[in-house]
Amino acid sequence: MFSKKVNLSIKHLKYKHLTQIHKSWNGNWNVIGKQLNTQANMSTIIFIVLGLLVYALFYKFIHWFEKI
Amino acid sequence: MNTEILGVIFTYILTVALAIPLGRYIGKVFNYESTWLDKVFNPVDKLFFRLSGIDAATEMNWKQHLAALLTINAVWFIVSMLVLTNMSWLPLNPDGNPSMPGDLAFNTSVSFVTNTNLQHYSGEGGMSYLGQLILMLWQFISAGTGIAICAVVFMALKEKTSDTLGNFYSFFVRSCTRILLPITCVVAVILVFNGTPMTLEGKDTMISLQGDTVQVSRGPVAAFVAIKHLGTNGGGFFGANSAHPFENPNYFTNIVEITTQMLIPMAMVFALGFVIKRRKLSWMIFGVMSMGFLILTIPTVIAEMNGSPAIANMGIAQGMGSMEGKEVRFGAAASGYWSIATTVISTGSINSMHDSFTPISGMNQMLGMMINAFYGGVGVGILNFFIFIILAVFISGLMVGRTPEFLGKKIEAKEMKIAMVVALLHPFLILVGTATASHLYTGNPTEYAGWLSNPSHHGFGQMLYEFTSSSANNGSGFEGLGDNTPFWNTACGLVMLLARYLPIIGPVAIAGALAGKKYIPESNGTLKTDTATFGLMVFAVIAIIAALAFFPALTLGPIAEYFSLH
Repeated sequence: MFSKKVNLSIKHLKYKHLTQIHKSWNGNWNVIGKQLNTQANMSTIIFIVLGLLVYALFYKFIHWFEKI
Repeated sequence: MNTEILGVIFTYILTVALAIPLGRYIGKVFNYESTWLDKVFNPVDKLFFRLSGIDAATEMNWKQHLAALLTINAVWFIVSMLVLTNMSWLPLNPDGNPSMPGDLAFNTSVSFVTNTNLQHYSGEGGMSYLGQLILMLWQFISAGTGIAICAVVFMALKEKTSDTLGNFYSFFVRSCTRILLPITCVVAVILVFNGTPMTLEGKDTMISLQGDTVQVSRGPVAAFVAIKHLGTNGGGFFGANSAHPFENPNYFTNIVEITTQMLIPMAMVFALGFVIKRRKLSWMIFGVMSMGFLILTIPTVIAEMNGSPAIANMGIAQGMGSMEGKEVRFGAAASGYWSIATTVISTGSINSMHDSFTPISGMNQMLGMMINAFYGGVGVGILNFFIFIILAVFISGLMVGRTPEFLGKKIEAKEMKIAMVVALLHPFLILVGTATASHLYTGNPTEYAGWLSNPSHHGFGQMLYEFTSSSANNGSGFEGLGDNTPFWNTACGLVMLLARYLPIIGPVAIAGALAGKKYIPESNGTLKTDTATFGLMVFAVIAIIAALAFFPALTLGPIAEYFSLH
């Protein structure tokens, strides 16, 4: 029940989707955005990972500012 | 005198009059002196710490404070993403609103966690009540985070030499329970008594004057609006924000809301003086901030009351001022005043459409966000001003040939490097973002035609405003911009993240470094930083940095638009 409803169900991820997005990229943000959002679970995970990567960057900044 | 102007003057004086005692109270909260709310909230604090397993007595250094802040925010970011992308099937969705796509959920989650509240959705049709309640929680958390980290800097600026600066979780919880929660309750009750809805029922049906049957959105609006202003968050329950009659029913609530949003940013300035026992320094900072605020406010109120030349040329009388995009119940003066207050501090709520303001007013709104230190957001406004103080101390020290010192601590190369990184980050994010968007738009104007409602100077201003608002963690918008697209959602999300945390990490790192240095008692040779002369020096530093960084971009936008109208 839960896995059917939660968009983040891992088994629904299709990694080929990333390849499709890459192929569709022609510098047009609207096209890549539509491609990305056709699969909600992939889109959600990508943006969560993006956010966490930026947060991880801030931890590096703390150490950088300490040693600067 | 014009009653509209009297209303504006009354509102400002009321805000200052309330901010001074509130500042004294906040000072007591962070000095752990007894307050009349202790009896109520001490047990709540203890229960929270017992349940979470946190020892509030543990002292933390500046790095531990920042790690705690980032961890709290990162966890809430993930929770927010999960709720917003699944809210269509989660509870409290009586109107059946859909879940958000990933890019919009990213933008919205980042926006609320970072105290920006930039909204690329409309609350009526794009958010369930669970989503709204979650966002309301973020409004407390992001504001509490800002106040708590500001308290850390206050501790570092005390005379003693120390590596430990209190406990972040304790500051955070006290910010929420002793400051935000009580005042929010009072404001919410005032709003309810003036007609703002507070319910979990779905849309209501009403028959309009012309006989149409319409569905009217409602929800837990009063509580949402109260914390949206008190925490300088700014995100509206409805798409029209505080121009919506349910969010801001009348002129009295307009005064209440505008006073509420400026209250804590002003009070934090006075709290600094009470915590570190240097009230003269507080008055110097308050003087500089107020001078900057009034320099932006007065021309804006005058320009809006004088009306729009473009509409006057169409033969439409401008006796009430420039009223396009404004609410008649507020008028031109109160709308102009609100527009500067909301952009100078980082609220970003609106009671009128900034896109419709005259070009000079639009420029002043952007300048308020570009400087981002005249009062500023809760807690972070002082941190931004702190960076300008460090720069001014260093420059003044070079000018008079003395070692730069601030509050008895030497300013050395390390502090200056960090201050410069933080000072340059804001213009970098705004200008690079705007340049990228302009490049994309001009490269393929047909594909991106939906972005701009007004190409040319005003269209450039719309893009400049969006990145300025994101970088200042403000959240207001020139609403002519079609911003719910993958590019704007992602780009603004990244800008909001970088512009929120680096300007917190930088000042806390400087404060931490200063706290660990040996205290040097003031002597006749010390550069005094609590005088009017030094205040003018800080103001000059702010003006020079803003002018050098942003004048070319403003020339392409609102200044060119002004000359095209005249």
